[in-house]
Amino acid sequence: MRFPHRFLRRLTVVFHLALVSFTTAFAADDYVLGPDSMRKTGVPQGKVEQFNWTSKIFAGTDRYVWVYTPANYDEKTILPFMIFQDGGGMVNDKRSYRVPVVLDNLSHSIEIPRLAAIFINPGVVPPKRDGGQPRKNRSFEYDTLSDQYVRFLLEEILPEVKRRYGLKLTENPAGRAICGNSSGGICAFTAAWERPDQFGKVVSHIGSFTNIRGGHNYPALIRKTDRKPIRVFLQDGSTDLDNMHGNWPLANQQMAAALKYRAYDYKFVLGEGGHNGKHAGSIFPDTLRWLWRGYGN
Amino acid sequence: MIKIIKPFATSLFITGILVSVTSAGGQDLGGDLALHKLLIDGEKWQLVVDGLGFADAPCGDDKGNFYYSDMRSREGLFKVTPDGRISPLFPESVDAQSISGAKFGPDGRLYCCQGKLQRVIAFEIPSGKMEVLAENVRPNDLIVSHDGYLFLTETPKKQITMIHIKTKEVVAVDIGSLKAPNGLTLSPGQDTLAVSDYRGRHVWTFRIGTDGLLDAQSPYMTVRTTIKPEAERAVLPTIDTVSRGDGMTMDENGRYYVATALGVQVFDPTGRECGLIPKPTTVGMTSVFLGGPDGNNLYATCRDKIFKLKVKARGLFPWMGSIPTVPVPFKR
Repeated sequence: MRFPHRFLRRLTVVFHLALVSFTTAFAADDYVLGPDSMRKTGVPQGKVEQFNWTSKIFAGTDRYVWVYTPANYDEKTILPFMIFQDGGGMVNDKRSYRVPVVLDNLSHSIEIPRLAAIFINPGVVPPKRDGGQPRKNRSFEYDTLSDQYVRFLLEEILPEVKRRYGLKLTENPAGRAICGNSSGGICAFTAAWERPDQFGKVVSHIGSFTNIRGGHNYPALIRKTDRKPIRVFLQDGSTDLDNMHGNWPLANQQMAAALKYRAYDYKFVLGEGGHNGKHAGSIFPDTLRWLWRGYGN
Repeated sequence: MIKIIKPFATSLFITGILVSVTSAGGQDLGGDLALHKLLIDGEKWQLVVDGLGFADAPCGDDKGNFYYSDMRSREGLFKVTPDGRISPLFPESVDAQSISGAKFGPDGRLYCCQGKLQRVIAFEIPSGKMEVLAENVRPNDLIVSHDGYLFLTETPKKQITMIHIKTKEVVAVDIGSLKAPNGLTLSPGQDTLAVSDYRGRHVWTFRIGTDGLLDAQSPYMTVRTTIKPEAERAVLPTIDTVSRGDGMTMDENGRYYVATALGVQVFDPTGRECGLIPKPTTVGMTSVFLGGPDGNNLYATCRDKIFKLKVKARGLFPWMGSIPTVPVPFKR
């Protein structure tokens, strides 16, 4: 028997509309935020301030930097701290991570130490003429396997933050963490990999350990290099990107396997999400608990 | 059975595209400029001209004509028409000898580097009327922006020089960022100048100011180089730090092309490597140019020969004005 063609086409259209609405209603990354990511009454709020930075190391680039100071900071205490790539999204208290909210809550309940946080946007070289096209520096800064980004942090951003806000930041690498998403995730790993004497903690969400600019080499490098004193948290989703640069879930599993082989202090959480912050945002309070466990004891 | 499956499969495919587009994520990863988007199945390097003394300075106009220099010839510059005929550009003149770099300017003249006579010159076409723009310079290659800024490399002086083609003012706009500045090109918007470094590992980018001055210098593109077989092997092999980065060109999607020791290396607008097109011969490649009759011939000058390769991209004519970068959609 042969179906009338038009009927069949209609049937498949209906079927796929149903499929799309089904996947929309029950998407693999339908993760929700928990109470630690919500403002709680009675929890004092830290202060977030913003400045614009023109870099010399990334010559001619402009970017915004936000600095979070914990509530009731007395300017004498030496603070551990975290740095976040793509800072504008991470500092936003309406998006997935809501880092200031989570830091307020978890430090108030003494589940993590009181931290400062520095949120840094990737650089942009703005055009000189009206209506011109900017040069985006994000891939160059984040995906490059070198010490250029960590030098930018150490020589430009940290001195400026200390100078501007009178913050006292710890020199202990175990109290200095760096976190990012996607290319910002591999950037966090690269910063600590290049300078483990400066950064002892790494958080990578949906990290781009793929061949954008050679990042796929890290599993081999980790296996063939003496263990460095870095605590690493990796998150990815099984439906993350699969494109010409590589396959994100496979790359992150390779990273986790290499870290395990070299007996790193690491944790890998593989969810079902895609290339977004929903899953990592939903578990972010637990990520911080794991990352900062034992600090200061 | 096939008739039943086909519409089903088609709509499943479309659903798949919808899902993958909506989950594609950050804009940096949105565009697909990998080499398979550029190369055409079955297309190979084709010989354009053979038996030259030393080929360089490939360039073209918007009529589909292609031009090159044979640096050891009497007539110097040659023209290849869209039907493939080759003739000296100025058969009666010897003014165009030893040209190592040539590009058109916004006034329609052909601007040329004549290192042997330490000068930059401009020709009217077809008359061949020549004007000397600058003397006592060491020009290697050049590019001219729509705003009338001529950027040239003075390789031995490690210098990038700007000549304002109206005022003929000559300014050193960068000294020492590159070990051996060589080829140059512009982004589609002409806000960014890219310069290859023959003795370094990178293609550098600069921001072009409204006054033609450069800043925001950055080793933006990392050029693939050969492995040094004699070096002691560590975790990774020792990579040669010399790219032999030479002539450059660009396309309307914002890709940068640079002639290197290994072949033509292609980079996306964010400076990421798209891939490497191996060179057509074992001899050195001095320059590349994207243009020709349909704007999609990638020309490569290789000492005594010039080759072309048809690609899925069109070259830019910077003298005609800046354009917005044409995005390449992400789909398989």
